[in-house]
Amino acid sequence: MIRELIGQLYMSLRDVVGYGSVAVLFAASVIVVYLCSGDKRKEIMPVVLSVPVSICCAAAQLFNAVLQKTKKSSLRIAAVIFAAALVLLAIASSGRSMFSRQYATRAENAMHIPQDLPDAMDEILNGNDEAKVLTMPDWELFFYDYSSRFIIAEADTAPEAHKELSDVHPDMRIIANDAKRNGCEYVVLSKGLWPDLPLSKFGYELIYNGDLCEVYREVKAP
Amino acid sequence: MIKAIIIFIVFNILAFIAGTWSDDPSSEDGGHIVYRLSFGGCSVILSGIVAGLLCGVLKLPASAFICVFILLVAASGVAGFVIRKKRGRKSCRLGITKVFPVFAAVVAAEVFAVIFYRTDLTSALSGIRTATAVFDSGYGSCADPMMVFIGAICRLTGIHPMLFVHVMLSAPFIVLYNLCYMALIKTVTDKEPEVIAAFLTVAALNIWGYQSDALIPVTLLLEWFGSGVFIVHGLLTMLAVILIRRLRSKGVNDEIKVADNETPEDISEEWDMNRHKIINARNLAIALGVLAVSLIFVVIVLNNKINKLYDATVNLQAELNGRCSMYEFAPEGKVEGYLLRAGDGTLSFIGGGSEKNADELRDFLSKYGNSITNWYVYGNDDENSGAAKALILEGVVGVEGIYVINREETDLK
Repeated sequence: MIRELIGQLYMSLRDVVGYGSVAVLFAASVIVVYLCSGDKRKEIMPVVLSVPVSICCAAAQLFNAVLQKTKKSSLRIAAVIFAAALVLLAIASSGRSMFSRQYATRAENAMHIPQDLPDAMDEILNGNDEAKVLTMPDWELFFYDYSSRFIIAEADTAPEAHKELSDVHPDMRIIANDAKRNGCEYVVLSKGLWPDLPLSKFGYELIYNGDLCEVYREVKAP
Repeated sequence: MIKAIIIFIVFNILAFIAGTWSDDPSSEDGGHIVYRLSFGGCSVILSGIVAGLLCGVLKLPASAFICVFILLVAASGVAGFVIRKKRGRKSCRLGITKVFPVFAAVVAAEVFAVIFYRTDLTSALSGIRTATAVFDSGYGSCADPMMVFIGAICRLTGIHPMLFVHVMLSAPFIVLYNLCYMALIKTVTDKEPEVIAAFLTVAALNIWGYQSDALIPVTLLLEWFGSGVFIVHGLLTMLAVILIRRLRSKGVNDEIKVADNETPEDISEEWDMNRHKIINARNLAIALGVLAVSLIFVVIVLNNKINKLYDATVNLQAELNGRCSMYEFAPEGKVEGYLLRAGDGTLSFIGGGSEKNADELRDFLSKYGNSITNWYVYGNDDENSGAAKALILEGVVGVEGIYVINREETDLK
């Protein structure tokens, strides 16, 4: 039991502190804070509570030490630039830029939803208290965030349709059948799909045609 | 734009009111506005989270949430104001220094970035769903209390949660978390170059993130509106400030005692007893703390075990069904046939015997399925295929194909 507790504690600590260069950055920060704080060591050590805080305090201590130990003014500037470059390099090499394409893209609108989707969603909600929708897997989140009136057929309820939607050339017959089986009155598709036959051939009619997406509604017999 | 500015101003006024308890115990002056706004901002969000939790648990409407929230903020402000008056503190100072332009430039760049760049972090965006549900229904739910808080505010203001989070909330929250860091840095050091260097380090960390499993989802510029971000960048930072201040004031008190030339001989018996009481209370507190931490970890370990057990059993039936199984048909204790169920669920039967087994075979097959894909009989005579013929003629069993096999031994071995 004790062994498991220690193991759990260690794993939790590694989750927070990280692995490889990230863990080295944190460990180096704690050492810098400890060594550079001198008489105030006891007072300052609570900063290790938070990883970002300890790194920023280590940087502050490092600059202080550099400024104190360098007397010549020309050397001080060089030392400060060197310390700043060192800190920046350590952070940049252990992390990844939040503004890289992996994490962020330029927002098309204030709601941070792909363009056209708000209009498409309004078109569906117009006159409906609830709307059951099958849509692109990447867009489900936007539907949920936009309105709680959307009921989305997710991958676990409509697996065949989701498999087809992840393909550039989906079989619209499978998508239509799965959508009908799950009671989806609306299907919202990306314009990036290139099916052999459009969804309108399988019991759905086009009701919205935007630059990015198109909305189909199930045709019901009178 | 005007709404965003109003929300920013209102948030900071509330933070100013709620932050009256941010005095440094080791200092006599009124404190810097950075402390007041950072402590107050965290108090406001904490009040919102507590109100959101109450609202969610009790399924209260958003209007009730607002009442609880305002009461909590007001209580925090009034309590702080009374304590401040008792201590005779002056009003806090603005103290604009060279750090201010750096702070303003960094914060403005960060706010601009989060408004004009769209994050693709699914875990961050999925939280907004809770706020949208509260916004649409007007009632709290037992979900992320921070999102219930945001949803209730959206309901009150009539602003859609997605717009509120991405445009209205970015400025007050990002300014607050940077103020928290500034408060901590100013607690650690007063020298301007150090403050600027440390603050720029925080800015770099916000851009590149700290890439550990637990901290990458709470990177400020990815998810400034989440509960995790509030804990890491707000609460923990302010906790560090409080601890440093406490330790510092303790150090100052010790120094005062030394300066008063107190010798062990001067210590009275009463003082000694009090000291022992304090030490005992402290030891008890430490013991209770260790016990609490141990209990928490025991609960975590047990929870993990239960989760593992659940994961192992949840698909057990499906796995068992997915495997090939064989059942023995033995009327009156004598084996007359075998039913094979393949991994895909198809059934095959071997044997069956004479017509006298028909009733028992019917009961046997009704347990496992009456649709047999392949039926293998040992001969075309009544002795070996009588039961099969009887059930097929009755129509109670559907068979795709019947095959005759023999049990003659070959010389292959």
